[in-house]
Amino acid sequence: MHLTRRNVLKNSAFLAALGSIPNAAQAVIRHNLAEPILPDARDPRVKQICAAAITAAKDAGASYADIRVSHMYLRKIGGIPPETEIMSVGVRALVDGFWGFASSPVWSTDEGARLGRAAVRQAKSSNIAGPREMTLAPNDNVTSGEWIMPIKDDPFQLNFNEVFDFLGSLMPVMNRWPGVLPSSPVAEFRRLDKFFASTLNQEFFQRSYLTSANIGFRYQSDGRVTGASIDSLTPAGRGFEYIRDQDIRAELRKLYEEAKEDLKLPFKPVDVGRYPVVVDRSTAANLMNATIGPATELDRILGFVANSNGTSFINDPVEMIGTLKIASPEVTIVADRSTEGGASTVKWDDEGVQPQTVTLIDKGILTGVQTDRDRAGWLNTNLAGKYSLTQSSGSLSSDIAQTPPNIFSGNIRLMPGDDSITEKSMIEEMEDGIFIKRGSVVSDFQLSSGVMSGSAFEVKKGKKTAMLAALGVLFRTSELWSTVTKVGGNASQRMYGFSSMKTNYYASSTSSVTASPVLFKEGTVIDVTRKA
Amino acid sequence: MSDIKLLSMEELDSIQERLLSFSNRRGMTLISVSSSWNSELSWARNASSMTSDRRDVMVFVARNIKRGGGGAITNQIDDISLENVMRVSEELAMNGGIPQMSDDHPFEVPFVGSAGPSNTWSDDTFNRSVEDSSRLVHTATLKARESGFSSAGYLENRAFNIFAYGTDEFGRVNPSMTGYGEMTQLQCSVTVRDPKGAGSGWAGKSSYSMADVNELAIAEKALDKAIRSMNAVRIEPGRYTVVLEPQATADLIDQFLMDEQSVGRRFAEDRRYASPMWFMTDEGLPRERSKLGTKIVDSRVTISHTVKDPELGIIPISGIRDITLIENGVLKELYSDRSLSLNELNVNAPNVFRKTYRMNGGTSTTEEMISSTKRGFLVTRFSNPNLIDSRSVLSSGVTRDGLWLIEDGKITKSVKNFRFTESPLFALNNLEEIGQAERVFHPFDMPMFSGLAPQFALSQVIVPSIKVNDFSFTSTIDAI
Amino acid sequence: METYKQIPMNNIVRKLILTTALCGTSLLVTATKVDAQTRFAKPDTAVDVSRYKTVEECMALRNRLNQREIRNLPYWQDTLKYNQSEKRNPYPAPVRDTLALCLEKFSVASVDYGNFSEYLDWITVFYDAMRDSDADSVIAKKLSTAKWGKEDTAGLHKVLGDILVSVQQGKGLRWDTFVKLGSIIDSAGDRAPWKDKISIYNSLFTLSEEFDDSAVQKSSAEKIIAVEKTLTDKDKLSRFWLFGGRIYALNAMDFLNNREMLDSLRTSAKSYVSFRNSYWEKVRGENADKLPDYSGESAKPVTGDFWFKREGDKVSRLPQAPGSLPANGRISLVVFYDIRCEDNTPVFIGQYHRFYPGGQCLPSYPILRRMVEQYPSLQVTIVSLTDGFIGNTEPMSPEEEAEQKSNWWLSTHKLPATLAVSEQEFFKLPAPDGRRVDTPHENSINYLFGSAATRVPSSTAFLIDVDGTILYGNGLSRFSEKKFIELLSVITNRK
Repeated sequence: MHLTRRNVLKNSAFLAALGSIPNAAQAVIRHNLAEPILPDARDPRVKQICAAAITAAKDAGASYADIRVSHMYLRKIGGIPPETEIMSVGVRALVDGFWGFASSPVWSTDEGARLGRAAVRQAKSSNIAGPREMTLAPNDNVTSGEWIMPIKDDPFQLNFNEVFDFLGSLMPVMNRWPGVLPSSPVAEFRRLDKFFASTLNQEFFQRSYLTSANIGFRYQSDGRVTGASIDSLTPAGRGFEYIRDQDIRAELRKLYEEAKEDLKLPFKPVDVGRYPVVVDRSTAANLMNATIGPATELDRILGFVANSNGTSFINDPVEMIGTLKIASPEVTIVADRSTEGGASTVKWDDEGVQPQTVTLIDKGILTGVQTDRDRAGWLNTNLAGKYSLTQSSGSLSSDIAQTPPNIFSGNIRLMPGDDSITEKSMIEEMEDGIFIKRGSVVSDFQLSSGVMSGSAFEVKKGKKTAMLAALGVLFRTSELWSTVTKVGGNASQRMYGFSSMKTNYYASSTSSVTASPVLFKEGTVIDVTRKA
Repeated sequence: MSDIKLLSMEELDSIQERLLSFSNRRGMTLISVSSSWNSELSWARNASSMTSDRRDVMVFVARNIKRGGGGAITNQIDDISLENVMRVSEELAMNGGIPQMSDDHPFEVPFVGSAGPSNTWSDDTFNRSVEDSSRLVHTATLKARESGFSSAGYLENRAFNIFAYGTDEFGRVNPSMTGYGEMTQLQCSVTVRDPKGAGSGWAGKSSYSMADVNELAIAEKALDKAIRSMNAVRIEPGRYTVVLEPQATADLIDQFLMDEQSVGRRFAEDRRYASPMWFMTDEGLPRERSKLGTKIVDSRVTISHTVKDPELGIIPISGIRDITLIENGVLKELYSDRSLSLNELNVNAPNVFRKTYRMNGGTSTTEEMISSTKRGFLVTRFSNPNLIDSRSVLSSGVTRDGLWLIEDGKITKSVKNFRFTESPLFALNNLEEIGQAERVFHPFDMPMFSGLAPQFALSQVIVPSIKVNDFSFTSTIDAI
Repeated sequence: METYKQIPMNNIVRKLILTTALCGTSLLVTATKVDAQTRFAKPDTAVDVSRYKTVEECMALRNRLNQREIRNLPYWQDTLKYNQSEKRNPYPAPVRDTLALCLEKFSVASVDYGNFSEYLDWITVFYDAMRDSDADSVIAKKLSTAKWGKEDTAGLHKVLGDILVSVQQGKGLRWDTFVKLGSIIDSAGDRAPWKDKISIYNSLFTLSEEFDDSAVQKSSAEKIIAVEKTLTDKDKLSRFWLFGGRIYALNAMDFLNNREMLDSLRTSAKSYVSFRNSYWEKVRGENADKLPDYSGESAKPVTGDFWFKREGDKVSRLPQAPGSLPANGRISLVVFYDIRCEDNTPVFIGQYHRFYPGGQCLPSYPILRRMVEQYPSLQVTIVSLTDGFIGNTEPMSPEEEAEQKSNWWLSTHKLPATLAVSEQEFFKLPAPDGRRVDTPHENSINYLFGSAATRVPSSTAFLIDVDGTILYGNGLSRFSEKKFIELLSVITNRK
């Protein structure tokens, strides 16, 4: 049989299934081919789409509406899919205290208007027993304009092949080192253009970047294997300079020497018990990302994602803000979406609020949470002057306009301790304890407990004396943070980027965590493979 | 603009045809064009928090030119975009190729091919209006509100269709990569909590068909669990007899029923991910050294999927066949990729057990299992499970949304949640009783931009409640 | 092929293609900016090599551009007759010039001799960029620091071996330099291990053929034999000897006795085999074995369940075997092709299985056609076994499969041959294992000559003399083509 596409279609039985497609599905989300919109979100025609959407939403009864038009360009070098462009329009409307949202890939004024009406229809459908009482927190600083994330090297302006060559050049370098099996380097770049408009007559365009790379190797010696990858290339709000301007070879070489040293140590089972624990900055960042970050998202606190991700051990913000002791006085954690290079750095959040710096934990006491206008409004009503948060912290975020925005932890930072404190100094001062590097943390659905594990070392008299198998630190979140006695100084800090998913429809966003190495006076050390 | 949710097969086909006309180099091609519609209702604190209607289109192209692979994705279907997506794929392939795409990865995706109609589409699921859904949500939250509890949940109607087309090096159609598939999905899950956080209950279900999911019953069950979970007491961790409700059974055994995405790729990078279920050539466990043919769990356990199973709803992509993974406790099949299947088994399909399966049930009801238990726990579900050791499938996670102490055949107390450290293989070896099998909450998540969503789109699960001895709880947690 | 119609590109795309093409040739050209079209826009700035800071970046650039050159060829290079100039020629201008530009900022002072084997990459890359004097001075500097020392793994013999590999990798091999460096080993005496010596002489020997340097070829062959003479019985049991050394020695002997060898072949296959055996016995060591290229084995008749033949432009199915093949009294070539030569069939290459478009045997098809064109009397028989499936298709009957094979080899690729397809018998291991175990087919048994394999590797060809003696067996490739032709020309021109 001569195979052609038609023949295959004709001959395969799936055509039989055609009968089951309802007639309604035979038509199309029709694209207006006569008037293709060129995809710079600053194009004047994009404003027309927004105007059409806002007008339609208002006409249909929205008390507030906003629209995002996003164009995301993703480029993965060494990974799949290599190139992705996603263009989306999403309209959010508030009617009688209920939110509705509609989105599609079509950039046209007709579609903008349709989405405006559709978002209102979605919202209205929820009003069955009358309006819901809610007051959006005011936005006193409604600004319009344009913001472009300051970066040096736009990865989408320079030649794709330059990056390709740069990454390719690392393979021969690592290949020269005995025992090393390099993994092929992968770099990922994102440019996200967003145009935003709302019924508050606010209009802005912002462009943000996200760059990351995965470069590392496996090292083999005497039948033992260890892996290492550079931890200074996690997602960040930077351009290609993030990769190019770091001395990656020196970093790799350092990791190689470290891997050789590690594998020279004996390997032994963990002796369970309570020990002082030093964690490197990446483990500390993971711990923050798995506990304090999401635990201070107000929607999570109030139970808005109870059915998906879970809740927070901070479960009564009215009582807890200003009083709850979460950590030792050494610990101060601040959220700030304006940090240079942060993975969630923006000028405006996804409802047009200019983010504020929020001190989440001040010397161990819970002092703030991360909010949007909706939930900040709730806090204002319910805290009644007890806690002065009159504005949203600007934490509403959504990668692309395709999904409704949600509160996501912004760039959070563990404020550094004394400059003299480093990972090295903490290990050297340790009599008998544990050191964990490149650790990961699994927490529970209320973020109140978890297990921290990673490459673990026994430390005796200030020296790493053995590698420990299957070691975990079992913790209660507040208890563990309360045992922090030392936080590394400014020089030992590093910013790490994370991406996270939220809600049942998998809204995603990225954020940064800046951390120092930390000494916990006492951690419960377990063997994670040991059963009851 | 009319209110249309999905592109038709003909439209997907015509996009694909236009796209192909822009190709100007020889070499292998894989194109998939899909459209999707999601109607999503989230609620919390007994009121709707977000109601959304989302539609999208995805166009994925992969080209392989003289052993160089490239590919790109767009969601725009005008001629300029289609031409660009083809051009950039070809340029990437020419420039040395993307390592993963220069292998067969994008090309070995088995597709719809010559398979029969599927039980994956329901007009009712596709046609329900947001107003109807909202009324359901409202009713579902009423009782919780009246009882002084707080309900949070999610109700989603979804439809998805995809047209794929593949050619070989010479531009000839490759039937196993060409075809059309469509599916709907309804998922509903509800968490009801005490406003002060003293209790929490959960229930949920998912299916391609609305007929299988009773939203109000789910809401009621969640509320009932929340009420009964109040005032939990702390009990020492240790080894206990547990009665796992079907959802907990699924949460647990999911740990070893991993598909090729989760095991195969990870394993290729790190040998620690070797699984006793996975069969690979030189680097994996050789077939003769695997557990194949040996009894790995209790002889009452059979886990299988049948493509035409009307309740599972499997898109009959050509790599899918009927598989009995475990029959009467004996491991009957190992995962293998297509090349191995061809060369060693003479079967022209990868032997991949997808996350759509049925575990045979027994006759006991959960209540009967409780009444025959001297001392143990009833578990609603597990949360945050993670694999600690893939060879023994040792996993750790926590119980969530309802854990009760059973004493002398009766539920006596609500208990604070535990962290467990246990292997599902151990649990299935220590079975005391098997309950009736039923559909659980197991929706598919559609990773964005994958272009290959049907790979993930198979996730209906029907499993029984089970009673297991000596289940290992390693610590108590405060989370409720 | 209708799916690949050439369509006129619109201007935007034409610009994009042009821009990318320019990257390779002229680096300082800044192409016209593409108007307002950013969707999947290929970057419109040329690669700016002034931003490349390391030699490894230049190496990556070189590899990428070269890949592109290869993909841009309108044909598969490995289907062409092997051309000696491939080794002699430098990289194509776009690759070479771009690399040179990239390397402009570096001098020999940039080389870090202490950084593992970094200097070796510099040697290659300097040659690639036609900076011979820089390459030469890196070599000289490194050699000046190395000392002879048999036990020393960093001894001069080791350094020399490494450097020769680097020189050889440099595109546009500098033969004179290579010979000069290779001859350094002459002065080693017993200060270098025999394995290193024989390896270096062998690389001189094999490469000299490509450079038509018969003097070097002769002297290195002699040196190989001289080293061989010093070996003990224990040396001849070493892995190195069994899997390489003795073949080097046989090749050297074949070369040194070439005229007599071919003369003996003019006489008869038997005298050819016994002549070669006379020196093979000396070098093979205690592990006595037959000649490694199957010379002297007798060719058994090929069997088949389905027969096809291409004559002129006509392909026909034969009702039965067309007499005994390979036929007595005719010069024959028996070629084994199996499923891995089919289109789009996965083959295992290391840990990754890949599709080899057109099958991995594709390069051998033109060779077969060339051979028959040059020697029309050559009788070619393709031998194949069924697998139950081809490529991505559903399982099929042996007969259907045989027809598909005939269609592929005889019709599509126009191979001037008789095709014999046999049904592969197999059994399956008891359930649940179910693995298929092939029963070795008699064709395989007859042409494996005691090897442990179950099937003759695909694209293996045997040249068979009129009396049924195998003269030469090897994978049919552009590298073995010359040897097949050399022998063919002798036996077809016998008086």
